[in-house]
Amino acid sequence: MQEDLNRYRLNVSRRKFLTSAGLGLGTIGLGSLLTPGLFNGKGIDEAALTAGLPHFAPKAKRVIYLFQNGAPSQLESFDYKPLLTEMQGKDLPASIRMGQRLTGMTSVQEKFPLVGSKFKFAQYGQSGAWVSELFPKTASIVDELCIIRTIHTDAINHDPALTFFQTGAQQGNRPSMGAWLSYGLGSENKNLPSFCVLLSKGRGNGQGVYSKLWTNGFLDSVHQGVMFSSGDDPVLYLKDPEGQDRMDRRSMLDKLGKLNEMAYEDFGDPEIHNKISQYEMAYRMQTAVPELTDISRESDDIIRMYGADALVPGTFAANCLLARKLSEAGVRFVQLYHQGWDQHGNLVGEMPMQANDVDRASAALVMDLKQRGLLDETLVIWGGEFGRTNYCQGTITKDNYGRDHHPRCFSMWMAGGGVKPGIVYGETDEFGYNIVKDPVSVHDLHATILHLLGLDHEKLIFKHLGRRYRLTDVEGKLVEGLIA
Amino acid sequence: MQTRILTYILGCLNLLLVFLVSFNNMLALPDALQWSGRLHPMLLHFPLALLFITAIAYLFWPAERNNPVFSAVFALASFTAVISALSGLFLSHSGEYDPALLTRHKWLGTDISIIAFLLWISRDVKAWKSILVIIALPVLVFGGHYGAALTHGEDYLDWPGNNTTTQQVSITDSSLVYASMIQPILEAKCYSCHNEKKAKGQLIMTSLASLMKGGKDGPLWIAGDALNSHIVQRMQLSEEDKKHMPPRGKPQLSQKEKVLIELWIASGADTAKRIAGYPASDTLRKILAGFITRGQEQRYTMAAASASTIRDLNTPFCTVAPVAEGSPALAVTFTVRGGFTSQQWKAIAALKEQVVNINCANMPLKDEDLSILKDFSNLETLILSGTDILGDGLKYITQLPKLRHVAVSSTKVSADKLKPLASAPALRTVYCWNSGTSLKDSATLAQVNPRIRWDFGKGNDPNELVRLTPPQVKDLEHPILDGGKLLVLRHPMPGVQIRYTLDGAVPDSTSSPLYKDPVRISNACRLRAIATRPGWLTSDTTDMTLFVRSAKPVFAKLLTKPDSNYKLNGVTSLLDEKKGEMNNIRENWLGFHGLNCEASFTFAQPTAFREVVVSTLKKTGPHILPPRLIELWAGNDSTQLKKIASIVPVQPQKYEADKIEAQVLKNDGAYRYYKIKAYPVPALPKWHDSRGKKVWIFVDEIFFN
Repeated sequence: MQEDLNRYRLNVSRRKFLTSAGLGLGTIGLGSLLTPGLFNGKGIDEAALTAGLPHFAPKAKRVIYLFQNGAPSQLESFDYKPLLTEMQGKDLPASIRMGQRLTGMTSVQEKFPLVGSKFKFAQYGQSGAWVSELFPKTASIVDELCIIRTIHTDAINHDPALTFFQTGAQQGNRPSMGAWLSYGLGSENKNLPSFCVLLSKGRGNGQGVYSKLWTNGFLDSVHQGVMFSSGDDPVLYLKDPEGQDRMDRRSMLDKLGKLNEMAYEDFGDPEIHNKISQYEMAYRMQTAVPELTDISRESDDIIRMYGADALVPGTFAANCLLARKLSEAGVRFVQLYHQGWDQHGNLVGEMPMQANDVDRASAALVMDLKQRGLLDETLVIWGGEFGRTNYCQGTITKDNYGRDHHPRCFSMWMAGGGVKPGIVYGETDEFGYNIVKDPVSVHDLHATILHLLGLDHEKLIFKHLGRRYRLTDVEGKLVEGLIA
Repeated sequence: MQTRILTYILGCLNLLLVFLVSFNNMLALPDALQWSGRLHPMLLHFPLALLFITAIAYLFWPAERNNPVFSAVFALASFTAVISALSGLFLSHSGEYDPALLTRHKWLGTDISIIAFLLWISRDVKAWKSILVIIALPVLVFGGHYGAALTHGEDYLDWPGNNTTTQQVSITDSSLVYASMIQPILEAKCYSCHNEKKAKGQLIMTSLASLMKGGKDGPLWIAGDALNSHIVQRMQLSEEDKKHMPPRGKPQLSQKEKVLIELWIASGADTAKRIAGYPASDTLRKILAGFITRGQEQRYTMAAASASTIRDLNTPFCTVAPVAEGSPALAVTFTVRGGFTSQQWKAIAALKEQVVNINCANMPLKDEDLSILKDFSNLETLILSGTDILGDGLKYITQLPKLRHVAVSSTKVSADKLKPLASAPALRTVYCWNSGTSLKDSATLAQVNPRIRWDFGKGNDPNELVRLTPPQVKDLEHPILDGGKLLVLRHPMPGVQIRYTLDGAVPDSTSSPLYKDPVRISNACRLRAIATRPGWLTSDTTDMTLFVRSAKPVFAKLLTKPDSNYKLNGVTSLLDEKKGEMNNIRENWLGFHGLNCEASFTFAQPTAFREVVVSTLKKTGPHILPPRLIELWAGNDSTQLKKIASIVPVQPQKYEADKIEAQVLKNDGAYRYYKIKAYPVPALPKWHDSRGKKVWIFVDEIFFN
């Protein structure tokens, strides 16, 4: 960017040059002495911000983020709290709640009746991690997973919490994590966007996802996430219009490229070059995308592993399989969203359906990567935007209950990419309400993810509106305990 | 006169210099000029020395400042400075320099030339000269320093001993204890006398099989019994003893190594066990934990490839990039099967020194293509998953000294073809899941070389049955069929059988009709279909209500009022053939809260419909239940209608999945006037969380067939 600005400044006519040269050659010389590199781009400050390569040898090269949108309950998945079952129906002690703010949905409740998990827990693997019966396949691979039980966030509602996880800020004007990585690491595959987005919907109570979550923010538009859809056209507007063949397309792009190049010489706007390269990438994507979305080369065993859903476009399983293929093809950041995890009521009815949608495919993805030798360099992340309360929203019935939003502690898991396998990190109190050991904030998580990818979160900076921005803003510290 | 000409010449040259430096990016040089750049290393010392000496002399002998000899020196300095700056600029075009350093050096060099020129012009102005000389000194020092850094490298002045080059093998929780800890000890301390060629005491220790065989005194160890194991007894003897091993004078085992070997044998001498496989409380595990490294960053020491080679090899379908900023080691990724060419593949041989990681997953790579890899002396990871290789080409990579990981998952490579890989000296992991091998090969392969982990994956549990997905109904945006429309069922998985019923009965995997060809639908009906396939669990049922396009009344009217939030266009919404969706009750649905839904319909002449179909919604969560009772009234006098038919829809007994249902009322004659009355359930039933509250009825269409 800085380089483009300088090139723009250099984009002067001979007359302009001679006029300014008339100010004295010494001035130029001295000027460049005071700020070395005045003419080629990086000012002193920016020397640290070289984009496009990891700062140090990375553990992971790529990320697949399985976002569980709506916030799955940690108390029915990975954070086992038998005390809640014992105290079923009793009021949440004020000493535990400590005046925590609540959402408008439960703040009017007079009582906060504790409610234990309706689903059984057991310990699995060598790590002895507790996992509920809703996630049998995930449970079978706990020794590959790093389960974090002490994530906490600042936001208490879906949109800000989701935006915070994706961009490091709640407001939604910053670049998404995938865009930062695309900016920081460049692309391994020039025929696909380095940031791809896949959506799927469960049958539980859903919350929206929107394109602001995969925005490039103030970064160059090439870093924007590209959404793949499930229909006949996985990437919209990629097909040639009827009657146009590949040759026509090529010659059209060549001519358009020349015109754009002329415009660039006139204006020097770097977005023109972005545009040219995006057209070219789209042209190559016309070959690359059909190749990727074609699952006929996948064996029966693989379909069995991911579940038969993997053959039905738009399901979470199909997206996991596609994510593996995208990642294998060098896409830096594949962002999945699975909607439907917002169980304010009817948790007992909805959560098994949701878990059933994602359990087999999530575990299959981890094992599939491992068995191809790619897990070491691919970081898989699974989790929602916050947790759910240990008390019931509304009234507890004999066999049903619901849980409200809970930002103070919740569980996620990561696998591969240099995280420590087979551990459970952090501890919450017996009520599953507060963290007692090893908290991990969203900023900390971001810093750790960037570290695994070989980026120093304090050096991955972009200067915008006179301020230096980072994914971790002014916070975030590396969580050593998560790193292998 | 001559001095003035000299001034002009120097001025012009400096102007040229500044111009060229400023527009360096657009500069294209003929070969001859580029060659002249090579004079730069020689020329640059003239201005450097001249200016330096002048500055020193000027500062320390003030009395001599006006000595005319300075003028001559300034002229010489200025001339050599501008020439060497120009030659330097030409040299920089041969590429291969660190751009950040180069920029600094380039501008500082230009500054030196300009300062020398200014010194020459102001040779008679005392004040100017002093300032310029003082400026000149730091510029000389830094310009010279950056120039030196360009040729000798930035670490040229680093303090000796700072640049360690040792590569450390990282040990993690999942490392095999034998391969990563025990074998390296034996390799370092025992192999030299106990190998195939030397075999002292008839003991060969270099392969696991020969180790197990032992020497002339029998096996080397007894698993689980350290104290009676030869190796332990021999190493614990005092060093003076003749039987002590390693023999006196040879490198000895350290205390830690002895403890490791002893504990490992005591714990069962399992060659396939990983560090994480030992209980956390185990002493061996605790000691091993001390060896676990945090994956020390590797430093590569090979010479870097030239920037232009890397640039040329980077194409849209092949990415070549350093593994980290500033590292000479490169990673190569091939992408897009359709874009793969064998020239491009062969071209990477130019980087055989630098490439440490190749990923060509899913490329149409053939066995013969692997031949170029035989000289890749630093290659560590090779991903061949999903390529077209059959395994014969693996022979080219068996001698690569650094090769640690190879993946042949999803290829047709068979176990015999993999075997030769076992001789690769540094190989640790072979990913052969989903390849031409099978789990039973794992035992034979593991025998070949225990250091190598043959990853066959966890695979699928052969006893576990996975459920198929339900059949799909093709091209049916809304389930209202024209009289002639065909129902097409399909399934994404090849080899699946679809069985279906149209009468609402639960389809059976043996007796229900097998779907072969599209089916003609003429009545509203409930389609239920399942998919079956041997080895898989029968799918859930596709359950869908199909409607058939209907006759239109000339006049229609709602007799009760729908709720104001769900009233749409009143009665026309019931006849517009726009079906509502289960998840979007705001569109196409009329909602009645605790009220009857009653509507009347008038036809131009008496018409004998077979049936009247009311399409209703069941959505238990938000209080939408099927009507308790639906009645069909008809007659040929609008004031004298009689009840023709009634049905009692099935009510849910618990929370159930959402469903659109066809309520079919049989007609018995030809009538002009029809009336539909649907009565809601009086209150939400007991099983519902909101029991006792008012119930909704939702209707989206009424069909007359």
